[in-house]
Amino acid sequence: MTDVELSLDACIKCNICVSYCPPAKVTDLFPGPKYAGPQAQRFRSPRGPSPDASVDYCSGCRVCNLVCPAGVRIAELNAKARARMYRDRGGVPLRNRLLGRSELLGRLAHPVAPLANYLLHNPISRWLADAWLGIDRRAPLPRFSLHTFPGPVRSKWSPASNPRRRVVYFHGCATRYYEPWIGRAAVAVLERNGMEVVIPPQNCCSLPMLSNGEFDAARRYYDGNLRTLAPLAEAGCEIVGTSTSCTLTLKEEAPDLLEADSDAGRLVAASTSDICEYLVRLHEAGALDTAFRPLELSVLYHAPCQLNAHRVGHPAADLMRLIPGLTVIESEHPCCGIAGTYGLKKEKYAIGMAVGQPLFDRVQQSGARLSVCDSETCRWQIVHGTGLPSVHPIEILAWSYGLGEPLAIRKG
Amino acid sequence: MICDILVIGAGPAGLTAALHAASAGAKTAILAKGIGTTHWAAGWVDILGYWPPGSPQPVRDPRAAVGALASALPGHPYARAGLRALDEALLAFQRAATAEGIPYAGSLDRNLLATTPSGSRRPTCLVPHAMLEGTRVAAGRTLIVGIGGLRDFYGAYIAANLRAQGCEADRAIVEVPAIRARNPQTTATLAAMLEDRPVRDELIRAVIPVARGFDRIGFPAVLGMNRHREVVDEVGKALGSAVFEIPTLPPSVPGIRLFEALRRRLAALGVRVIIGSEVVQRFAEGNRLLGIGSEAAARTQRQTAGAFILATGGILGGGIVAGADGAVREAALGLPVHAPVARGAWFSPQALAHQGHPIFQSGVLVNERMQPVGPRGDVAFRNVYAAGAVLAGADEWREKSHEGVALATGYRAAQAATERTRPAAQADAEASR
Repeated sequence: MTDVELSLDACIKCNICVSYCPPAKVTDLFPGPKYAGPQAQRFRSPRGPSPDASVDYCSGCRVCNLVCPAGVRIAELNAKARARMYRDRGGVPLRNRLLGRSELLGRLAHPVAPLANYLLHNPISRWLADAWLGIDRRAPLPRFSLHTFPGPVRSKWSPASNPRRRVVYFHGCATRYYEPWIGRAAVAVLERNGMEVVIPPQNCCSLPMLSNGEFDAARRYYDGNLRTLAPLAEAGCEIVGTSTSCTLTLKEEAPDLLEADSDAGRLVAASTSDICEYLVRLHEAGALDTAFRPLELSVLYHAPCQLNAHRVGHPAADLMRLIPGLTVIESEHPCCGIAGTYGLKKEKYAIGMAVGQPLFDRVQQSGARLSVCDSETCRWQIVHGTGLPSVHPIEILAWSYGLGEPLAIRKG
Repeated sequence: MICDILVIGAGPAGLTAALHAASAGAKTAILAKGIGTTHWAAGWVDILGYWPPGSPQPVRDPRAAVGALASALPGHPYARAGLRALDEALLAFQRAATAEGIPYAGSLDRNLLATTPSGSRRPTCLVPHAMLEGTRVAAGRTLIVGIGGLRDFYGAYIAANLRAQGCEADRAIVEVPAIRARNPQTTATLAAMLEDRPVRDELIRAVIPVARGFDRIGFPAVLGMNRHREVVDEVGKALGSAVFEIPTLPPSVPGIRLFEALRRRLAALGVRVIIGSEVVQRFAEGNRLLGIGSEAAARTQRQTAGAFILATGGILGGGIVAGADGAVREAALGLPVHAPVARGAWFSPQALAHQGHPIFQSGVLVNERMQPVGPRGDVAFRNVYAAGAVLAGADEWREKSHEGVALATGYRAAQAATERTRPAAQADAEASR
């Protein structure tokens, strides 16, 4: 047994996780982390069938792990049980396979982005996807961008440069195919701080497959990333990402869930940071350019569940508080409900929206013009739930450095 | 993260310490492995329920009894913190709780006898307003209402035990279709459900026929979560009699309300609360703690502070751990631990022994400034303070002193820590002016 499985013995059945579980608060279809996790785990044997189907209603937000006073790895137990359940049933449903393939979809659709967006977003195809696939017709799906990030790959660096000033940027599928402006903002902010930014070819981080129960496919994508990232980490480069769920996957989710313990994996994990976490470290070392121009506005910052799962505090909020004039209100809410692809699914859309409702109310009542969040799917969900624009914290930093206004604001 | 004062632990001691440190102007943060004992405890503030040890009579005047205890046991946390810290901490607690919408009743001069989920009458010092009527069950007629579908609440048992103590009590179980239909897994779910007016109205309609002729109605503590006062007021008004809550098995809704109220208070004071990070490393230079490392995804996260307040709890909370080899350790910083007995005498032969089990008095010894000290009184780290159940010398669940020790020592530790960091905090405040 792995550490994840052994941790169930630490459960003292206090129910704190159940009282904080976002889905369990709003639906009876998920009995709660204690029941689906450490309790059901006692009945899961390597030979017998999976004992319950309710574990599929775990959103994987990891709030249970954080509040647990005993250190039980509940979310990981649930993710592994879900993958096991699909294996018992003879495979992962087509819908989950599609939702797990953000990279493949992006690669196919971006050259014909206007057409793909039309095909994907018109009411008839949304109705069909709802009826045939089980992707809710109301769910917030992103739009493909005709221009991908980074354009030509910048995988080379000047051998003369100092490896400590060299940083590898892991952009993830969302920046590559849907929101290339976030990648441009990230590169601009890093370069402003004197970094040489290396952007190697990269795969999907594998999280969408992990959370949709497709562990074998996830392993291939994860291994592909290790092949390109490990040599760079070996050369002393730090790896930063603007998608907080991608960086969490490289750090912890993929190696833990896939039980993939390797030197390369450990090295990549230890070298990877969320971009704001990295910039806060620069700041603590006195190396961050703090010549921020004032931004006279107030924003609502939502720390997504995947960022909280890094256990590094709220670095984006710390950075934004360095900007003169900017008022940062924190959401104090654990989850927006989308949890990656959870809230897109027909049977879970209403659960996701109910989980997010108090957050949407908070955003709207805060008086802020826009919300800020480190995770792309969460931003799409918050926009869907509030009608207000939502941006990545790196866009706010770039703006304050005078490196361009966030697109959402220029449009709005 | 860099701050003036880093509090380790988010139970009643840690929350209290952070509240006072931040109020004194120090840049404060809380780091905790998980959520603490607020969610397991009744939501009351115990000061001292039984004294001297083994006494079958509940303490009537906790102020006097704490004074007597402090002179008899100089190593007890109350003796270390002093009666004045307890007094001031209690007043500050009542102010904070009232400001956040969950006022507490009671005072240090007289214990209340609150109704427990087993129908006993237990001494405690402060109770949330919604539990006050449950301290008056000796007079008049009391009805205990159970709700069909809610597990682990035994109205008949409570009423029978109250009757055995000479109180006039009866019970009823009401059926509320909306609740049956949802089969709530925990009290917290039910508390949130009762904030919906239709569900609440259904409950009220079900209770009206059975409530006739009773002076007060006792419910399991599920009458609302965020809009608790509104729910209690409406239910009381509709039933035309006094209404009170009885604590339940965990998760404790009154405890969650208290935790969330204090967390709101801390957020307003700018205190960052990080839940889900366990301390796994310490960085020290001589007898000064420079920082700690907290467990994070793929790394140890370094947290630096001017001073640290250790409020990680005792054996139950995980701040003190006892190994099979008989070694008793302080889990976060590896501080010297005082364990009163060898392994063979950890436990008394009787499970419910009046004198308690000696192992529960294990913990960290401190001086009057709440600084952990070794067996010869030498200070372990001059910028580390300790508070709450991690301290040696109290058997809090037996004495019924858990929250009192947390409040008094948390307050005292914050006071001592801010005295140390004040010059830095003041300089910061002046610079930002």
